Amino acid sequence: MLVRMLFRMCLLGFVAGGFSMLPGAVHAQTTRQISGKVTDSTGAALGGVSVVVKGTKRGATTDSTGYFTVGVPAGGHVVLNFSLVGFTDQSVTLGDQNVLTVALAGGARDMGEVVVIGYGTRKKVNLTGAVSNISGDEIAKSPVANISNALAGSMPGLIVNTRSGEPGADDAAFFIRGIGTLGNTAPLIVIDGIPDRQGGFNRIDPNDIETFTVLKDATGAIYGARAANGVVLITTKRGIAGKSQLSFNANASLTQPTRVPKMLSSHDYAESVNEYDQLVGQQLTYTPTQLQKYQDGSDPLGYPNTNWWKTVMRPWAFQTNDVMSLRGGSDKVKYYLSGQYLQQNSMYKGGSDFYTNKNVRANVDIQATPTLRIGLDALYRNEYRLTEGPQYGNANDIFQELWSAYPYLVARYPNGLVGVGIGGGPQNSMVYVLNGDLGNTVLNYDFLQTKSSLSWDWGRITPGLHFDAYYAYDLFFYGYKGFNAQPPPAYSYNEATNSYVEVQSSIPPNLTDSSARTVDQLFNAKLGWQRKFGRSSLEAFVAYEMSRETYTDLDAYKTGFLSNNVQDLFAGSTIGATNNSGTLQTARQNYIGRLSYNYDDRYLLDFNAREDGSPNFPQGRQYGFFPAVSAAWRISNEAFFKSGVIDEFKVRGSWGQTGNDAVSPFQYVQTYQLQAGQISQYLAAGYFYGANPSQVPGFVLGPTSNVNITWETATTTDLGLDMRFLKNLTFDLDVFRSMRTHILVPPNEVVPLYTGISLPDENLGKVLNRGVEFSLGWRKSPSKNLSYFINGNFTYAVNKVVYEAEPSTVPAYQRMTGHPVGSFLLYQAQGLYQDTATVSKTPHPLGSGPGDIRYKDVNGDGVINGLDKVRTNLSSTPQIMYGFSFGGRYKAFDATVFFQGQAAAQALLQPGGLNMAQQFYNGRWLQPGDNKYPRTFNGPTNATYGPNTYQSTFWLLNDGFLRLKNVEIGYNLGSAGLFQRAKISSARVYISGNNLFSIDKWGPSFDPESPGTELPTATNLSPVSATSGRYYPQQRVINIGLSVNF
Amino acid sequence: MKKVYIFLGLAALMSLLSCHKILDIQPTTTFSTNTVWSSPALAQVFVNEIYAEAVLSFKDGGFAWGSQTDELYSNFNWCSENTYVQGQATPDNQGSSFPLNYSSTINFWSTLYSTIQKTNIFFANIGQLDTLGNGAAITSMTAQVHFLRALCYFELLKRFGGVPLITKVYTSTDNTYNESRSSWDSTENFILTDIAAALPGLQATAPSGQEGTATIGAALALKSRLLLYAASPYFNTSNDMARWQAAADAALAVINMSQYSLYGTSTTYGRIFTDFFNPEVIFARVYGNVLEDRYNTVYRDLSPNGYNGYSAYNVLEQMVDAFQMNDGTAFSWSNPAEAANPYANRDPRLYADILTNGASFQGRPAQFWLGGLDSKLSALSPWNASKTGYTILKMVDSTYNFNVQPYSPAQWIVFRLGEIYLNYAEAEAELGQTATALSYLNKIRERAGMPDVTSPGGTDLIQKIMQERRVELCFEGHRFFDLRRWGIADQGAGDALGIIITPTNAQNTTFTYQVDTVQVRAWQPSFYFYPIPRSEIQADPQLTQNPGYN
Repeated sequence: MLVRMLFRMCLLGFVAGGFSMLPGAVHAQTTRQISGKVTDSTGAALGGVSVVVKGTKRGATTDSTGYFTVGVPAGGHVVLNFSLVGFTDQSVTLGDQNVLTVALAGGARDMGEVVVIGYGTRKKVNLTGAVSNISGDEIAKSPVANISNALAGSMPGLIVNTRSGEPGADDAAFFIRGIGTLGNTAPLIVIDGIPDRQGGFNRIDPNDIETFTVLKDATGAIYGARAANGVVLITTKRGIAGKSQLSFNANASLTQPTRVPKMLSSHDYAESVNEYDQLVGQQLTYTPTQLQKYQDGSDPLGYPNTNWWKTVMRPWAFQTNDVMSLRGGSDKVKYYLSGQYLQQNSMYKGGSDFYTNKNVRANVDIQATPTLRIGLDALYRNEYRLTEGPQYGNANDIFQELWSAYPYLVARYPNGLVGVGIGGGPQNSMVYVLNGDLGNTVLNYDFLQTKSSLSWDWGRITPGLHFDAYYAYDLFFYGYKGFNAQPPPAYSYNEATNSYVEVQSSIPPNLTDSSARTVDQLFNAKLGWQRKFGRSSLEAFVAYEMSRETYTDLDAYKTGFLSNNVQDLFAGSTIGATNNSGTLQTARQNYIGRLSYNYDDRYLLDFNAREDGSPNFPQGRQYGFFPAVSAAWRISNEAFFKSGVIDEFKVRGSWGQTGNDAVSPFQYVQTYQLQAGQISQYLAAGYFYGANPSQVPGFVLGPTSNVNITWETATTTDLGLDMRFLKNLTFDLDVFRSMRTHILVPPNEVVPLYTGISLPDENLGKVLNRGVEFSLGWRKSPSKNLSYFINGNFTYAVNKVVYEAEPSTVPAYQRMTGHPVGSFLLYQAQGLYQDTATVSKTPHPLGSGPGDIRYKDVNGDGVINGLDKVRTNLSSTPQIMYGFSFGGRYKAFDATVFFQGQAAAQALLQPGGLNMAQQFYNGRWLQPGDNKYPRTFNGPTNATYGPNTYQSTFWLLNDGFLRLKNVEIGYNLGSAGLFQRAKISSARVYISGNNLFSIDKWGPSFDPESPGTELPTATNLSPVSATSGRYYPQQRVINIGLSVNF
Repeated sequence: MKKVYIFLGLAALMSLLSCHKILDIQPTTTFSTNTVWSSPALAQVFVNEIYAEAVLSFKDGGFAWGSQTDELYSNFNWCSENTYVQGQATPDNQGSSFPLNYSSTINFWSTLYSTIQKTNIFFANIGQLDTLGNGAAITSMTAQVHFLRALCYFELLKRFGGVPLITKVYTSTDNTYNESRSSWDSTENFILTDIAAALPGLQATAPSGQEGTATIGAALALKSRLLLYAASPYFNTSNDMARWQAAADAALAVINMSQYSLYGTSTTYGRIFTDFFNPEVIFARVYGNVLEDRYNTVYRDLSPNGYNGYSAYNVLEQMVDAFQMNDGTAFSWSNPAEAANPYANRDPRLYADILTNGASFQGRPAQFWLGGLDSKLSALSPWNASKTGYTILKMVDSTYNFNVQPYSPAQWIVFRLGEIYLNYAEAEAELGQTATALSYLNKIRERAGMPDVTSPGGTDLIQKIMQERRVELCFEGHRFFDLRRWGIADQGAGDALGIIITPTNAQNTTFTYQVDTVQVRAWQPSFYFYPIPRSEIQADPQLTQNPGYN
């Protein structure tokens, strides 16, 4: 505690001290401004170069694009000194010119690539932490509408699974170094210095991204309380002085599911219903004659056979993405302006469903005075989604219906009448649902993000001192409008009377209209200082940051609309109308500091620390302190190191602590939540009294309070190695270990239900996450016409629950402790029973017979029950993730191929009721010797019989796969002739494909990234839910694009 | 320029100094403990929620129980009833907690204790209310919550036998959990104590518009049912006559209130269930028709597919057969005249409680015959067809068109005078008071339009009362527990039977009938009680599992 107080006071003193020096800082006169760009010997921009006017305290530092502006005294002999660690200092005597370009010598072993790190930048070679980065251009290459789907396999340390292909709702599951906690697993996303910005990173136009950096180890401690799951730093492009560059990029894509489920035909369905009837000893539903009619299709009206996927889904959906940007500026003003328009259509045949994403960005830098630079950034984004009515507003509901749809139902009769849906009316008719006849849901997300920043050189106070501050004001408007329309009637054909029976929909149209507004404000002030002393250089900063978020919402509901046509609240009935509003507030306050020491580019040392204040904890426990230290030794820079083979050789290590406070607030007080109106689709709130029942509200108790709630802490150690051989071969290796403690876990497994309490989460859980990751790259350009590369990366991250609150009565083989987060608790299958004799000889659940799964009596008590379940050693989150790509350029052609894969993951794939994938039916047990799947055990209307539904190892699938993630072929049209006359500096056409195929064990109906095996949540630590396939499937994308630069 | 610098500096400094205010944030979407327990109106809101959780209805209160007996078949297995009747219930498939909104089981160990905790929180906090001006409200609410806690424990007792009796409010600082199960008798006494505590503060009648609030009658009716169970053979192994006397007294106490009367006649019998809070109703739960709620779609859910209903619970042939001929003789398939026309001349309650083939419903005769609109071979959602050839009509207002608005108002009667009469008759019969027993038994029959029964008393009379309970109280959640307290649960565990109705003429007006097995059922002796979820035994090894479960 004392340390923290001291730390905070020092920071305050430092920042305040800086201000107290202000009066002395403004007297100097400036009469001439010099600006320019600093590059390395190859012309690559160098950021962070110190520019000092010799003999004065004036100076500047180059920005990340290498530009600087500095004020110098008028006339006379003026010399500018340029220095940067790793490069030879250089002095330039100014003549008349006001603009100059300086190339620094040295740094030859490295091209000086600058990487964004927390609250600063660092030359890549001088990194001391485990940091991966990828350029925006590389991300933009994959023609995906959602950035997260392009990242799998792109760099070591990322575990990414695309679990849905739904336009507008396809964010990938994204983990840095796997899962290290039982709590929230989301990495912290920092966009242009602002953590956790509304809208996240998924929908940023990839063309706007300058850098994408991942802080994987304890160096993320600079982001303190939210860094435990890793940190992603994204910077957007800024202006560059010089000629304006105008570029266009147009893409058009066709998308289709990676796999289309093959479902039962009506004959096979009827057959399986009969088999079920036989199993449970009831009268067969279908006669042989009926089965025959389903089989031969001789009576398509009475005995139809519908392939629902084919009937209501398009084979291909269309997607376009058009981007335009303008980048340029002068020494005084630099700008980057861009716009994007993306539209994705859905697979639904009748539907008008679509998603659009519009981005407009302006990043402007103004050199207000020679020492003061002002930045103004603004982004406006609108995401618009039109989906089916609220009843099917979630695509999972549509696919649930589609997977259930009986093949003997008719989509549309030959006379045009629409057939009834599975519920027996028009309400569930997939034709109506996907036509929008059940209404539509409109989602509007509007984001306005602004950032005003100043960067102020205080070199006059002491060289290398600078003050930076920024203020961000972000607005997020959320709009939801869901109208449940009353569909037209549906029909059933009655064979006996040869007539159509009409079924009307009974539920009157209703509308839910909601809006929410979130305002985020963040203020950051940073005082930084950097100076070179001989071979040493020091860099330090202290910063203060505060943020505040206010969320308000308002929603209203009315039913009893007289017509589908007017879809606004005024047209509804006042009977049953409800409305609601709410407010949420949160805030943060943080103190941040870093001290870096670099001796001759050989020994590098960093100290990071952050004290974070979070409102999620009670007073007195609101602040957490997160320190980190990291160091590196660039052995290849030592005098004794002479190798013609190894160009760069660095070892590095880091240790530190990061926090995770992503828990729901106010867990330290007992709350009563008022329940009024409609709680869910099935439940009105409160109670009804009176002969004319009228509703009164009720209270729902929040969880029992926990006054001791505190931070989740990750203590992370990382050892790394960065090497470059033969100029072209790079090799990076990291070994890491992260122990997460104080994880908030619900201890209710140890509390009997009779207490009635949902025990508050307590900081009891411990998870250890360990692993290794490496990347290997080879890049060569043997001639002017030819260049090629090959890259690969590999991540192995394995986690283990070290402590979990489990009752002592839970047998050792069932405990989560000692197993990975999300590992399954399953019965142990031993194949299928083939004969009755074996059934009676072995312990078995009641109802078992030949063709049923045989279970192991694990505890040997002679009965099969819950005690015979055993914890698995794998979960659905892969322990191994890898990617490799290769490509090259020959003259005007270029090509890239990118494979991505995973291993050491498992999933449960089990048939559901109603309808199912053909593979289960085909493989079912019919006679002794059959071994693939059990006998039919799913009956109609979700009935199941016997113990085959137990979640057992029988249904466990190795979820390793290798996917051809992306292939791109491009042709550069050059810049001669016509292009020259059109002032086109370059133009390129390309064709690419995404998710082209994968090698896996999932069969023809399921994608290997099928969701279903949910991750544990605070309330359910070991959910075992099998994959059902009932979701919007992952998409294969075939794309053609054109990019033109003027 | 200088001013700008100074301003910026000051702004930055001020933001630094305002440190601690920034994180000082209060909950904005919830009420705090202090707020709730300082206002009688908010305390009432808390009580409303206890009602919502404690008063089980329809599926949870009746149909799911009926489908585990010879009353019903559960077409959609919403509560895993079929797991029980197929003999496959284990401590592992009970779940440990269920969402309140859509219970998938009727084990309810978790939800009932969660509700009991709310009652205990109420008792621990109600004292904080200022009694000045609130005295009557406090007394009334306290009495109601005592009744509701008694109701919850009775629900537990019915399912599990004796259970841990929790009266304290557990908090997160408790770390020992070694409650053990109380005996059946101790649990019974605990409930009686709560009822006694409730009675002085309860009103005789609920104010108009507040019907559904617990009253003296509700508490006395609960006592009557509890004491009847306690006197019954399965729990009263020594056949202690004092218990029967107590049961008789408890029933008579309700009757003597003279506040309730039998409602309806042989032709308006069904209105007992659809006329809200009619004079026969002692305690009931109602639903509104505006918002979709747990059970305000029952009219649709119970009705046949041909009317766009779901046929959620199908009446078994055994149940239909239990309804006598209107002359008081038993129905028999071996009587050719009766077998040829099985739905003619029956107990009028059959027509009020069960929709049978050819009976008029919503403007047309029901068509359960093979190929008919309400049959498995219907053109209209045949998967929603009744498997047995019958659906429930009791509690369904057949004048309500659920095709226009599926959210119907609905009433679930927890206690009604008809049951109390039968309770009284049974207790008096066991006490040897044949005349008294017969008079109350026959009051029930007379109202239904059935001839009186006579009996020499003893077993014969008991059998007749059992038969009457089966018919009069069908689908109301009694059969399952009656069979158990009588110790004859296996008698209700036979295979589920239905009817196959085949037309014999082209107009589909004449039929032949054939009884058919709909579901093979397995009987387990353990099934007298529900299993306690395994997680619970693991959490507190002091708890003993019910016999026959491992």
